[in-house]
Amino acid sequence: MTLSAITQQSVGAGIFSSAFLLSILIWLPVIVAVGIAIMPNPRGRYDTLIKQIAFFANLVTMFILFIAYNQFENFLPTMQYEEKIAWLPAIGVTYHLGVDGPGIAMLMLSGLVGIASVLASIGIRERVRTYFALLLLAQASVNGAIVARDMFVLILFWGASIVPIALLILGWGGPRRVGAAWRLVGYWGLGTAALAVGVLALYAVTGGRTFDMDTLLGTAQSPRIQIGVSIAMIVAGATRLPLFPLHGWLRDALAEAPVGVAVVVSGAASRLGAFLLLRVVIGAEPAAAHLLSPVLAALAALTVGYAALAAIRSVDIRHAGAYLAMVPGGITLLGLAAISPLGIAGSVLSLFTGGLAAALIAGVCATVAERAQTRSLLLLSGLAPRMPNIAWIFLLAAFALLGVPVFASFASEVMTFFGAFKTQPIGAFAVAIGLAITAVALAALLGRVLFGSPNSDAPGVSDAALGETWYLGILAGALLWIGLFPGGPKIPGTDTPLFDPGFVSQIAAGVSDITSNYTLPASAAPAAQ
Amino acid sequence: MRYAVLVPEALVVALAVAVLLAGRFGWMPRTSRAYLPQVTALVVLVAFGIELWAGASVTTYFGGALIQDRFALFAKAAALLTAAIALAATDWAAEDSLHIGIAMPLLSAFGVMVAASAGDMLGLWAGLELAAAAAVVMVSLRRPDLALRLLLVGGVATGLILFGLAFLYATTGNSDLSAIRDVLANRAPTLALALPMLLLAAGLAVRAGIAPFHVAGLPAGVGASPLGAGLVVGLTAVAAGTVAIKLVTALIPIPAVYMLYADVLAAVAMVGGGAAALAVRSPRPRLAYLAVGQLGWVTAGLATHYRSGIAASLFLLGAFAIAATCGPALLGRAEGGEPAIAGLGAVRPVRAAGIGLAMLSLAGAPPLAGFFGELTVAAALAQSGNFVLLGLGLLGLVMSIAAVIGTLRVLYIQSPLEEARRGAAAALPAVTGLSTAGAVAFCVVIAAYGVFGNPILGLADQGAEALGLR
Amino acid sequence: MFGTVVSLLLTLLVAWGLARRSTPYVASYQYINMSVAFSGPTNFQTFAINLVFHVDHLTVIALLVIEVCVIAAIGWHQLMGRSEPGAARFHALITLLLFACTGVLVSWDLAELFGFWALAGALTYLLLTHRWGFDEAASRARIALALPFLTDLSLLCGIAWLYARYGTQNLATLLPILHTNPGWTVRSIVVGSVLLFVGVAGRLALWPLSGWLSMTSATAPTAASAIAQSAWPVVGMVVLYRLTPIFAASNRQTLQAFLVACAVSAVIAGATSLVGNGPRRVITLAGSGAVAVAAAVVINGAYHQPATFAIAGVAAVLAVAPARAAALLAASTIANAMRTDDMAEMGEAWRRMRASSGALLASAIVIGLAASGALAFGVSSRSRLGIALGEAVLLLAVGAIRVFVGASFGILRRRRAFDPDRVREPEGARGFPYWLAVAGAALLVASFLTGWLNFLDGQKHPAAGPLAIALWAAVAIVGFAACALVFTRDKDGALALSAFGGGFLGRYAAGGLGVVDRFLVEPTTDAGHRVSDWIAAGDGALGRFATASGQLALAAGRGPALPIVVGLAIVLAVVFALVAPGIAR
Repeated sequence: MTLSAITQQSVGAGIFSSAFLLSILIWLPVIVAVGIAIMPNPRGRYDTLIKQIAFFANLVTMFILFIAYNQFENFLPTMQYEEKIAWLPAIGVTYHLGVDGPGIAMLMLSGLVGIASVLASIGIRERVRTYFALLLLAQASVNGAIVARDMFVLILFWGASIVPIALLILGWGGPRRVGAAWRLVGYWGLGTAALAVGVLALYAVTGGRTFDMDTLLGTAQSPRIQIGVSIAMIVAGATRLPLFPLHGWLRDALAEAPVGVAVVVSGAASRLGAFLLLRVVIGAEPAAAHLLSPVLAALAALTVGYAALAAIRSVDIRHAGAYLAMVPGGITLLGLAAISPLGIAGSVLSLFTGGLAAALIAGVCATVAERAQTRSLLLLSGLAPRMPNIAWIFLLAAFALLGVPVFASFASEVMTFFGAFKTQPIGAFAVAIGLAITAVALAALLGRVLFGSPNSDAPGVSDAALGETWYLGILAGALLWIGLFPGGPKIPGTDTPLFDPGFVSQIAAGVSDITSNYTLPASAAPAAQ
Repeated sequence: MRYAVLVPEALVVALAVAVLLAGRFGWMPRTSRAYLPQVTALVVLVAFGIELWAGASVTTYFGGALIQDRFALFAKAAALLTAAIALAATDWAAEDSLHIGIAMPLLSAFGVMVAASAGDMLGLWAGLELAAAAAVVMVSLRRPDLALRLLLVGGVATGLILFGLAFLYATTGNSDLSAIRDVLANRAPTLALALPMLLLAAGLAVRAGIAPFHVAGLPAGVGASPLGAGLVVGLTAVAAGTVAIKLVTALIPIPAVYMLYADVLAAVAMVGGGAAALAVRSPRPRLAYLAVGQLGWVTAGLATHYRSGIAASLFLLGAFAIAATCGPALLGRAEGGEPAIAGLGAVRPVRAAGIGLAMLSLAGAPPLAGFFGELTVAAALAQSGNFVLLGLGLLGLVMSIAAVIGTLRVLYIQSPLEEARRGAAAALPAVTGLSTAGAVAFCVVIAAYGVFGNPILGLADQGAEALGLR
Repeated sequence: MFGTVVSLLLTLLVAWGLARRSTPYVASYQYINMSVAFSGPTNFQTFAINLVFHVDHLTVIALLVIEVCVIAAIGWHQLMGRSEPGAARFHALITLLLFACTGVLVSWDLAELFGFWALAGALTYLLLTHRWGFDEAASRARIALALPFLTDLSLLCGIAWLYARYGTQNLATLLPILHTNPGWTVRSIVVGSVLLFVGVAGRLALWPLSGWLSMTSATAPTAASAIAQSAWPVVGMVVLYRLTPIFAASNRQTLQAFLVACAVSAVIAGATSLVGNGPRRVITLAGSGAVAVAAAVVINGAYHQPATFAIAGVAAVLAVAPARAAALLAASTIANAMRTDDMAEMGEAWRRMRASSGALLASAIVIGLAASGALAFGVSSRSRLGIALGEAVLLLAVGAIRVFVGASFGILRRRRAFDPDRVREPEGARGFPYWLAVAGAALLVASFLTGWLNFLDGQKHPAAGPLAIALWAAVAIVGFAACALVFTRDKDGALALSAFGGGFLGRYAAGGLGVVDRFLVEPTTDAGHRVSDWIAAGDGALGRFATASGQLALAAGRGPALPIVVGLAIVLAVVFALVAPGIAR
């Protein structure tokens, strides 16, 4: 495909029009990573420079992303910023990228989490060059999996994130890093295998001519095939999001990983699981979605309830943070299980808010552990007066996780529950009970760690450093911004957004298409008077 | 001009013989020996260029004994490129003999080329034996005991293959591959054909060192010098794979006689290779078992008995040839096990990158050559509805990637040994301009193989078509 | 303080404007508007949350009451709470809480209402856990997050349940179609009503959901506790009143269940206020009883359509709120001066701390009598509900007044490191509880007036009979008198008895909690914990199995080469040849 042809396709072009905008988001971090990897750094002489390069690479990516977000045409149901170049025509592989509303939500999440992860990694001292190269590669693979419109490309980027993240945990993780890394590889590898099986099954039944999602997901399949493919996708999604009982990697990986990696994994990489379920199971296999929705709702309830119960019993603050980071995934899944337009829209918003909330709670728990020099909840006590910044962010993280208003997670929670009570009332009640148990876990955690009397036997405590405050602030700030202005900041009395077109409006593009299979007959409930 | 296609073979053989004689009779002054690898690699690259330029013409020689078609072009080009990069990337300080070390890879590559362009059974057998014999010589330089074991087992393999070919000849009354396919076109599968196929499968598996027939190949590969290991694990297996592909295409009218064998071999190799790679820690055995796993994928592609599957196998075989032959060469001295390569990423970054990429590619990690090849095979398996084999392959793939991450950790995250504690077994590979260039070339090829894979896969597809598949 | 005063002035301005018109001010701003489908029912195609600001007389008066309570609490805190840490944080939280309460009161969209409601809940938790660095405060504040959050979720589920069936959450559009929307069922309205009622009851702190207020009354800053105990009943009762049309649309059994729940809650709260000697806890429980009585009146109004007298319950709570705050502040002043939180050690407050003691008396009287007007308007004294609520009023009147009697009279015992002669009322602090009590008294008087009810809900109400008012007031007065009599005869005996009762209740409650912990919390959390370990162990076993299976391949590589190859060839030849498909003949 020629450049001009691609340019014509690039819907959403505005003041900044690049035919390869999405490719830039993927390959810029890769190029910078390779550059960092081959950059000479005798005795860590250029460590600071490397950190700056990684940070500014993320900043530039975010800037481009923000332009893409602003120029995104929210009234179009089609993919935007599309790139389509024949890759391996012999087996029908095309380098096909594109985003719709949910995709742009995931990209924004990935961009924010990327910046936060670099800021959270400022304290890295050992093998800085390798660390930041791997971190950028992990971010690039996540971006690639988000924008992939060809299943082959999706498998490629989906699997490509395993190696760098596992190495980051192995190289810079805590005392139990080896087991954590193997678990991550095992579960994510299993998920990738399940994804490959599902994709190849679709490939086979559609005639084995192409891996393009437009064909694979656009062709109606028999219910038997849909169920088989959906089960494979659910396994793949459940290993990433993660969902009970395929969450075995989460506790150790998030607890042992360096903070920056924990933020990326819990924030962006894990949301890919729900994104896959949205794209394939809900978006393309309606018969299977209808049949399996109770299973999804049960998984959501089990995940939230289990995570809360496990967090209550944790004696390690990073374990507690890891379990709590599972909760938003359950809410997202409930929205998907609702298979109602509002529930699905809520889950799309929840992809973003849940990712930020999960990253925030996992990050803040890790930062508290680092600043307090211990992870043991038997020692951590009464930190609030001694680390007020972290204490406040911890509180914000807890409230964001619970979906307290003014946080974006409130809007997603409301939409999810409003959408779920029509079709999955039992699942919705069960998730609500799980959320209540989460509140108990958080209350116990906050009461012990922040508000109790200081423990004189505990090691010395210091408040967050500038980088830590900023990375946590960015995550919390994004949640607050979208929570306060989901439709964008508007001049009162007008409908014109100032500089942010409104996150909720932008991510709505394409949602109607996904939900079209799940709308009720018009006679079921006429408009309110 | 018609014979220009044979120039690469002629160049390779002449160079090998010249180097051997020069080494035996000491014709070459010491000062110029240092340039021998450069010159050889350059000549092989020239041969590679000629192959790409002249190999496009389809023709036959010696009454159909040699056939130049797209399949031959692909396989020969792969063998030549592999030999060139391997010669360049080898740490010659770790080799036992410069002249033999240079000549044997050339002869092994020549064996692959002969097998690739063979039009009948004799050519196939001769090419395979030639490639294997070169490997035996390389092993014997360092470990005569292992060489003897390899020779004996290789003899058994030869016997099995010869029995199989003889039975096949007896059944079809032909030794010409295309004639065999024509004869079998209207035959039903019979036990009389299934038995020789079993013998052939077993013999080729022993030659390729596929689990569970890796009793000789792998130990020998592990004990040999770096380049010797590359020949045993890589080029010999490539020769066996080439022969297998040509035989399978000849038997394509009655796939039932070999499919089950191929399925079982592929399953055992993919899972066993991955599991063994996970179980072993030392880098060279790990690399060898990763290669076994990838050979399992090649076999799985053959089991599909479709053009797409055969093409996928060929595509993967190319990636395998480069990674499995050059990987051990890049690894250098590995007798020291993991400590020998600990922290190599810091002290020998380019070579470490090469080792990492070779292992990742053999494991099938994205986005490298092996991944593209294995996923292409997986697509063919899905098309043929063989999801059990696909699942087993993916299981092996996951285990392989886990194993490679262990080695990457040693390469990049562990600290290097202090010089004082490095014995000869863990000596750092010497850094020369040629070895660096070879490692860089290897990295580029492995990284670009799939990313720019369209022409390569297209050629592989044409190769499968040339073998008569529609 | 400044923010609160400004908002008070603004509220007064709005009130002045509203006094001249009968229709409410309504303004609406779009918060979320998202198109989620392009087919299906039109009301499910777009999801919108509009910030609907509906300001009527009730809203303004409720807001005024809350602001008065907040100003008094802040004023008291600036004098008595100087030693509290984090003054800026405290004032910021109170200002935000006031904002959130305002939001709830003016909300007409249920999603918007829940938003402000949950925000106020979070801020309340932060206020009640304001004392950082104290174990008891921290551990008791946990319940202030967990318990009300559970009921808040119930409110959310209720709203979601109704939305899922009606496609709207705006009261203006929802109420008219409760019985006309195709596919509506009584069951769906019943489920929604129960969820909404539980959600509101949690923040009204009706027993047994009152723990988050009673347990934190002594450990949280008094001003924070006073604000929580005065603002939430007002906000909750106004919301309950606005939701009564939904309850009324369910069925009579549901409303009867709500009435029973309110009555039981009122009686038990009143009864538990009789035991234990912690003055702030007693006041909290007595206040909770009064609020429960008022809630019963509101529900009873819905039970007897048209809901004429439901507003009387709100009027009662408007009086209870400042009185409750005043009582807490006064009791805290006395407790701080006497350096004890045990009434058995208190005394002579009437002589030494007249203003606080007087405020305590006034507020106790208001709490006791608050519900009289509402009951006189809305509940028949002959009904079983009337008898139950009368009993509750009697009990809570005793509970409220006994704090005054216990603290004001009798001997102030000298304890180690304590000099009773130094017990004096801090200058300036005395005024705030006093004026709050006066405000409560004024609202109490107003609650007897029909005109006040007419003003609040804009409807005409027939006047209550003087006899009914006298009867209900007499119940409380009897309670006051009985308590006074008992305390004047034997204060120590009475307090010893209540201390014993408190201890017994404490042990009983602890035992109950222990049982819950032993048979519910422990097993479930332990199950979660075990599952985590089991899964981790399972992964490890799988990993080891994979590695072990690799050992087989390694072993094969080390085996004797020739025999293996030959043997394998023969075995494979026989086996595969025989099983190969299409070959065996």
